[in-house]
Amino acid sequence: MSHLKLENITKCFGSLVALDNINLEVHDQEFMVVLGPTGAGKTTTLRCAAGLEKPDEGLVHMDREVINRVSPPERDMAFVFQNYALYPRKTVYQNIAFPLEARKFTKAQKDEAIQRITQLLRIDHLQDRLPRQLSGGEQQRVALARAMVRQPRLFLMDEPLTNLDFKLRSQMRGELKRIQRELAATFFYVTNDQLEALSLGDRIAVLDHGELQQTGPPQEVYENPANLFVAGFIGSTRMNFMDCSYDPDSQTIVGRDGVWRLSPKEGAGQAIVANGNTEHLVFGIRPEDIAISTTDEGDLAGKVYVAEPLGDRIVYDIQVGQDMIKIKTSPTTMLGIGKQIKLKVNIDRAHIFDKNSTKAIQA
Amino acid sequence: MVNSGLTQNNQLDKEHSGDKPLRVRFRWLTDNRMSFLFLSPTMLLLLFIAIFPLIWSLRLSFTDWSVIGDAGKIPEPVGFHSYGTALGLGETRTEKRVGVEVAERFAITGQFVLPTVIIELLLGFGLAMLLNRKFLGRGLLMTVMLIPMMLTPVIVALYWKYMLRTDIGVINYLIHDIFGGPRIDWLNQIKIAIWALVLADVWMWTPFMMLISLAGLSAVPKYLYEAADVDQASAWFKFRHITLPMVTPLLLIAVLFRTMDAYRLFDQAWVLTGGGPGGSTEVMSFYLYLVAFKDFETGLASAIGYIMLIVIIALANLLIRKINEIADEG
Repeated sequence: MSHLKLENITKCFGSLVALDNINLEVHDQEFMVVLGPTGAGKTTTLRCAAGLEKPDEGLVHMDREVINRVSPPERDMAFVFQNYALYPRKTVYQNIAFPLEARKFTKAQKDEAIQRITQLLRIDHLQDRLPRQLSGGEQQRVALARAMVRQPRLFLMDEPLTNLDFKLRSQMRGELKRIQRELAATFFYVTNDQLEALSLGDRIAVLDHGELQQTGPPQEVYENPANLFVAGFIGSTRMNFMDCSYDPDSQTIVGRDGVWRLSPKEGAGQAIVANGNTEHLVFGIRPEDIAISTTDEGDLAGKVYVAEPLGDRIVYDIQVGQDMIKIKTSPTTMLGIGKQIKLKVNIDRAHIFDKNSTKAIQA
Repeated sequence: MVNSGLTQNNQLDKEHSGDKPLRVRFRWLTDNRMSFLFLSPTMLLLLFIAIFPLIWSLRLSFTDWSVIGDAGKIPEPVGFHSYGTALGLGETRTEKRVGVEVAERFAITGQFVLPTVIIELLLGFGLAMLLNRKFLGRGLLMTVMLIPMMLTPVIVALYWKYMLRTDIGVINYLIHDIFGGPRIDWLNQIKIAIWALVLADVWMWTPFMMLISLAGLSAVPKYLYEAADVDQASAWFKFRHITLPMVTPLLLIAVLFRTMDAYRLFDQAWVLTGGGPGGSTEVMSFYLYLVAFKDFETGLASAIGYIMLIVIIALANLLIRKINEIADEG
């Protein structure tokens, strides 16, 4: 069993609050991903779990046992560092053997364990090399191998794919997922790449400024972001935000300066009224949920501002009143700059946020 | 050619001074010539105080010239005779004695340099390990510990001369009055006097080793220790496999510096023991001084000087090669 629980964890560095009352659980055999921008406190969370950092407040539980006072070696966790932390003067074999030395493995046991893990990670041909003779991707796999050569209760991974190029990164994503399933291991994984989080995590936890924003399965977080930060952070093309207000009389959402009016999805109107703030709202809609109207009818009217061809699609910036929104179109959709167009909005997939509290208003 | 051009220009300048713009009058002053002009005073100075004496002494080492006896005379070349004498290949009794003395003095120098550098390395590195953490008063402690290094060697030797005295010296007070041991006549006993030199040098230069070791220790990335912690490595394992390999290159550089410096020790030997007793603390520099300025065997002294130089260059190269090997590996 490997069940990690962080309870009310607070950690300060001087006057900087790195973690503010974090509550997080990692279940047995789960791939848990902590996602957040640089400086959000992701690494600190991981280091608190590993025991490399002592939380100022709160409890760290492992299998219902408080381990705050347990030293890192005794926690039996493996840590993959962002910069790999390979021992520079040791060969790949010696690096991977390092965690086994302390456990008094015999030579044969060591060889067998190393053979198994290097084959799994496809680095068995590199065993006699020194770390500096390896590429970034190879070093990263050696770091993973060193962590996986034994069976720790928990794997802690600090942005292990960040230093890899795009192609290798997507390849390693698949491998990591496969290995986690194969070893039936529990992963606690940190990244600033929302794509990585969505594709790897059984559950993700979004962190910003040391505060936990939302926890849940990736699809759920994507579909129902809890607040403006999560909505803006997750998604390959950022969600469009437009300031708006709600008019209870006509039961419509009104854009800035009244340039557009939309009927919200069922129940949203009541929720907005119940929330008490009808004046300062933000209308959020993902680029893929906006289509170009083929008729003269449309929910929004705008002017093409700029086009970004991305190969498999074109992203257009459309000026709607004073707001700039992005839409995704097929690569064959050609729109001239300055062209006036009408847009259709999939209102069922739109989100309304309270601008003051930044929280989503759930219908 | 350049000169004639210059004079021509100067003449032109005199004839038409004021007629031509500066740009034309100083056309000869290119960037290269300008930098040469700025550098020339330094180069001249170096030539007179360093390069010329070096070449001159090399010439003297192939003669039997003496600075007092042969003043005003043209040095007579005698080939490698002085070198042969210094290396023990001489034929007359005096020459043979010189050969024996040089060999003895090299041995004495070794007896001083080897323990000095080893003790300084161990002590300095140990102190650095102790100081390589945060604690209250660390800055103050470091400053105090660096004081010996900042003193003049002669002053250090004078301190130690008093501290090592049999009657009022604090060292013998500690040994005899506090711990009940025998009084040791540090400076007047063969076999012990050399250790007095070692003691003074260790006191003075251990902080240097500590400083370099500290620089090395603080350059070891912290995450390597954290990785080892997570991997459940023992303290010895971390020291042996992370700390030591990471600081070795820097330690070797410190050893190189200290070896070269200890090898040419003079001041402390002069003040503390005066080379005695019975020449047992006559290290090479000291002996060289005696040959050059007591016997005034200028030619022979020059030859011995060059032998010393060759020996230290060879030693230094061995160390540098080792450092490069390690640097290449990591």
